[in-house]
Amino acid sequence: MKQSNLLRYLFALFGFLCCIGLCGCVESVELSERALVQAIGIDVEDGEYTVTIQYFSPENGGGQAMLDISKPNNYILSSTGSTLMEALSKAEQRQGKDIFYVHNKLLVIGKEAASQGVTYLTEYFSGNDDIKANVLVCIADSKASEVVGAQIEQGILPAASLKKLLENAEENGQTSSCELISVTRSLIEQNGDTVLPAVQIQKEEDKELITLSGLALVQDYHLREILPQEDCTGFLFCKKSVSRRALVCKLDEERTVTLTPVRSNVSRKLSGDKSELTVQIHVLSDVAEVLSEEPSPLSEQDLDILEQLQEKQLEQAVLDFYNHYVRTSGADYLGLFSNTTLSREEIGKFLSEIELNVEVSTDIRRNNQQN
Amino acid sequence: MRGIQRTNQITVFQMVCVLLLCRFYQFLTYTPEQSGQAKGIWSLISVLCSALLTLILLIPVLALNKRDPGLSVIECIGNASPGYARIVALCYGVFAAVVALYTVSTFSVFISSTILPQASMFFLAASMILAAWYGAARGIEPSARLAFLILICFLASLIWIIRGVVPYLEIHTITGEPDQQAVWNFIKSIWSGTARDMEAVLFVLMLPYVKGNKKKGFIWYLVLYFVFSIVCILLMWFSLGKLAQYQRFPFYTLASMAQAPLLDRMDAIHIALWTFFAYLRAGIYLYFSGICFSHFKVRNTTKKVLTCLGIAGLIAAAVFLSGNTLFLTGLRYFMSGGIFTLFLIVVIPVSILLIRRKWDETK
Repeated sequence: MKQSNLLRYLFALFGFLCCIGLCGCVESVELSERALVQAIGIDVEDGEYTVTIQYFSPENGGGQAMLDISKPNNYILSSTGSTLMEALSKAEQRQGKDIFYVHNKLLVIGKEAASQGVTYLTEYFSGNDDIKANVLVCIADSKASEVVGAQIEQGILPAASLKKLLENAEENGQTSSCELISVTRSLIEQNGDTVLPAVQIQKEEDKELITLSGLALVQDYHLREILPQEDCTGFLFCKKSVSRRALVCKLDEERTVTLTPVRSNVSRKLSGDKSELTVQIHVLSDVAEVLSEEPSPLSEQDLDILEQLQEKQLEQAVLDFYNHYVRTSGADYLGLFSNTTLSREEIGKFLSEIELNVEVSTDIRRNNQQN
Repeated sequence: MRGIQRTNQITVFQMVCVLLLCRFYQFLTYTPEQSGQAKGIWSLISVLCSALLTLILLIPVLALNKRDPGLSVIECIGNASPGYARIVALCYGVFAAVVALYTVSTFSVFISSTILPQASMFFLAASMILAAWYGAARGIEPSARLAFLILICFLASLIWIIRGVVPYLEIHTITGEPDQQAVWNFIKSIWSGTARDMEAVLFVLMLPYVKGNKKKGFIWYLVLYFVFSIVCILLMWFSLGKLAQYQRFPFYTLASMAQAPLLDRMDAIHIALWTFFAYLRAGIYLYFSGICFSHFKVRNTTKKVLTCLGIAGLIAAAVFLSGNTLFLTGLRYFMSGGIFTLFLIVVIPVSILLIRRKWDETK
């Protein structure tokens, strides 16, 4: 019996060792032979697609070691084609490494390319198993090649820095959600309407910085316009829970107070006949800063006034956003008709005729205790 | 016949694990079209109704088992009609072999389309079939024990996927807009769900190898499958929405969306689990295919030759089907059409009951 047990264990061990060798039955690619893509930029010019790829490459970034945190550690590759697929396949031919998209973090679409249409987000990138579902998508205020090619001196990789920027902005309520899966879902459910973060390049003292320039409004898969940051408040508070977005209120002639939402809740109720939309927003805020010539504590009355000011400000912001960008265009940026089978024209008609009621209630925390 | 001692027996709990795992293999390649024509919440209700219909359709089998407990459906024919017994054995054996073949083919297609596009279909099919054959050769009990372990891993991964997908959930009403053909679509969904339940046939084959209250076990299987499938369908609806229709494998997309602290992508775990599912399902159906074909008395040498030829034939067929999606789709439509399943779980048991009754009266 003991001998048979020993034979069994040996046989099992032999079987396991054989499995290790089975790796040779399929093709493999060494890590050094792979170009680990970090960001993809898409531009369109004169009917031709230009793809800009940023991939991890410490040696091309000028680094001496395997990973040099003082260097950009990346290589920028561009290629052109009459279609997006042709441009991407040509990129593989322009250098010797096997392009690996699984680690891609960003998808940047140029302004001109976005104006001509972003259908490839749903048709190509969404169903592509190599592209992760949580890749971040954004619109460049100019060309995507400039954003992807910018050598930001923050962190190990420029793409990672931009990804962090977008993630922090989303967490802080500065921009909308921009993961590929969320974007493609909203494009499909909202007849090609969605809102994406817009980024731009800024140059300061020979250094390149990428900042958020606002929100890109996409209607029927085409970029309609880019909303500046200051006009985004209405959309953000209407769409999702917002925190840490500075709201400035002028208390009186001498004092200006900056309020920071701790958290906000929003509920949107569409009436049965789709003629009335009620948006209820509740915000819990902290007083972040008081600007005045002479320092003085805020009284209870001041806080009550601030609450009213904040409510009016938010109400006006929501109304402005809806009236200027939703009612006039008929675009379902808020996703009010996501799960219906109505046609685009019917939805546009409803959106333009809806009576909008905005109810905002705010609480400002007093003495660091929640109300 | 009543004195047959089966050494290769499993408990009711193990039977439930095996049935759930085999059924879930289909679910991992779920596409929204598979939920039938019913829309919204009606498609969920149709899942429940199809489970009830499956239970009702198994009444003849349960009656047969009550009459001759411990005997398989084929053995129940006894001496009443040896020719018919061989035909029945052939039907069940072919069905089980086809299901094993279908499992291996769809597995190869999934792996080659998502993970290893450059992998050889022959390598995938051959390695899976040979491994499944070995598992089948060991019997039902080791497979049942493995099924329990894989089920635990699957539950853990499901919890992890749910946790990872929570940020993407957008809960919305799922009433389903009424249309003129709502009732007919609902009925078609119920039938579609029942027809796809090939594990009802597996249950029929497993009956003599299970000790305990088998009817209760099967009811537990239906209940658990209903709960799991509702959870998974709701997850897909609320996290992917209409995007699910654009995905080849929506459940696989869910797994790739979910993130974990140590794992950037959960789909690697999903693929590993799916490989286990495919292996177990192919192995168990191959085992019962062999049991059915063993009712044909042949010499040992011939048996070995036939086994080798059978394995080679399965590999060739799997390679062919994997490379020809048209035939694979046709096979899927044939098997999910329900005629074959209905024949095996209703027509044959009823005919056996009638034959035995006539035989007993004559005797």
